Amino acid sequence: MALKIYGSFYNRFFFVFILLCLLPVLLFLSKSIAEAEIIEEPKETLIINSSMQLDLAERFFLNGDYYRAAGEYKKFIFFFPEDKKAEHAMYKVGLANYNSGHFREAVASFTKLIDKYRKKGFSMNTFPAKAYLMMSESYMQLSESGPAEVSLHNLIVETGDTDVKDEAYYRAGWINVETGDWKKAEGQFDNISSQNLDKYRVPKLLSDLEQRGSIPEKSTKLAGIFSIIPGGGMLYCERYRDALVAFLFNTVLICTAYEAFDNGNCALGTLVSVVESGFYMGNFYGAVSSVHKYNRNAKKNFIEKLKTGNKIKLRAEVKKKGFELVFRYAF
Amino acid sequence: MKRQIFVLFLTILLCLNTACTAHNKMLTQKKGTVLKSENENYLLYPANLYRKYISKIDGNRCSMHPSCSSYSVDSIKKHGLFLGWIMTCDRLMRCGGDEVKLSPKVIINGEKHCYDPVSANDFWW
Repeated sequence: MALKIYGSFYNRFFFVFILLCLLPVLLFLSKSIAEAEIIEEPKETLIINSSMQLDLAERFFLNGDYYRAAGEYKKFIFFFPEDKKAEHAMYKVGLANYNSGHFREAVASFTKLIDKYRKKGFSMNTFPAKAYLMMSESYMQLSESGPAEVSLHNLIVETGDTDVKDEAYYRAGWINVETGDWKKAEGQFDNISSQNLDKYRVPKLLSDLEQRGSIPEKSTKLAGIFSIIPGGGMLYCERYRDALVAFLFNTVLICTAYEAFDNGNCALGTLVSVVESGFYMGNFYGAVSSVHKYNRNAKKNFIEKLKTGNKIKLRAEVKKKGFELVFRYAF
Repeated sequence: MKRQIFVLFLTILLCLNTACTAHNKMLTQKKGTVLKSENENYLLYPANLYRKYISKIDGNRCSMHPSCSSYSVDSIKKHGLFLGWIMTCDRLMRCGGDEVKLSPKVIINGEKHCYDPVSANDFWW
């Protein structure tokens, strides 16, 4: 019995021992087979070179898939930083961000490009010049006219090319027009060199800008004074319906309060007076607010008219020959 | 006495009738946060009372966006009770008037409304 037990124990021990010995061999064999399978699978190796990577990015860009395009351009810059097209790719990253409406990212991309490839006296066809212009455009899209103007100022300081300077002066002039800083705008347009005066139609632009005196303007003080009679200020701002409503509303409430006090009902009179005081002050507020809205709209209309008749559309889109020039003239 | 009660009733009616419904809240704000902060502010009780009980029966008839009561809540929140009250009164007088022709339009629930938020009336400060 004891021998039997010992024999079975011995057999089991022997079996486990054999298994343990075989285990590394089995593991090694399975790994080798797996590796052999992986290695055997790809029959062709694809090596992506710089032009292929750039083509892919350009394809995404042309199809309007700016998010992917920006990613592919970034991959290009990462894998081929020394490629002569890296500068172009960096610019396109900014442009893809701009086109997809990510203006803050666009500004960051253009700043990066300028910092890396800045050279003294760069000309119009260089990427830093274009980046400066697009950076200014991006800021304008963010409604930040100050930084937009600063970008153009920096471009003017850094470039040695007259064409680039004139372009920057022209754009800066329009930024000043947008903000209603007419004098500064005139100064910017005046800085454009004589060789480019006709290109930017500066004489006509300046003469049209002179007509800014004809922009109808209402006075807030007058609106306030007229509002002493309820609705008077609104009438002054050519808001006839609002004026009538304000007049009737205030008149009814004032008469009600008067009647209440006249009949010795002070509680009612006070209540109506409290309500009326809000409407009476609201009448002043509305009049002054309407003046500001009126003046803003008048200025906006003048700027739109000025743009339609004079503004040359300039695109800092990279073409091999430089800038695309579009002129629109309203008859 | 009857005459005085009638005048009082007329005054309240005038104020309430011009105030418009306020189911549409500012699009940029989350529903929960707006309601919580509004309920916490006692200055907004009258506007909330109107929105909760009267507006539901009265129906959404305001041609402006945000509606007059929402505008009132926004202006009081932004500028305090005094200026908020003045801005509300100004808005009530302008509601459905010339502003409809002058301001941009916004489509809410398939209906065109005149877009006139608080920011369009305090930009000149």
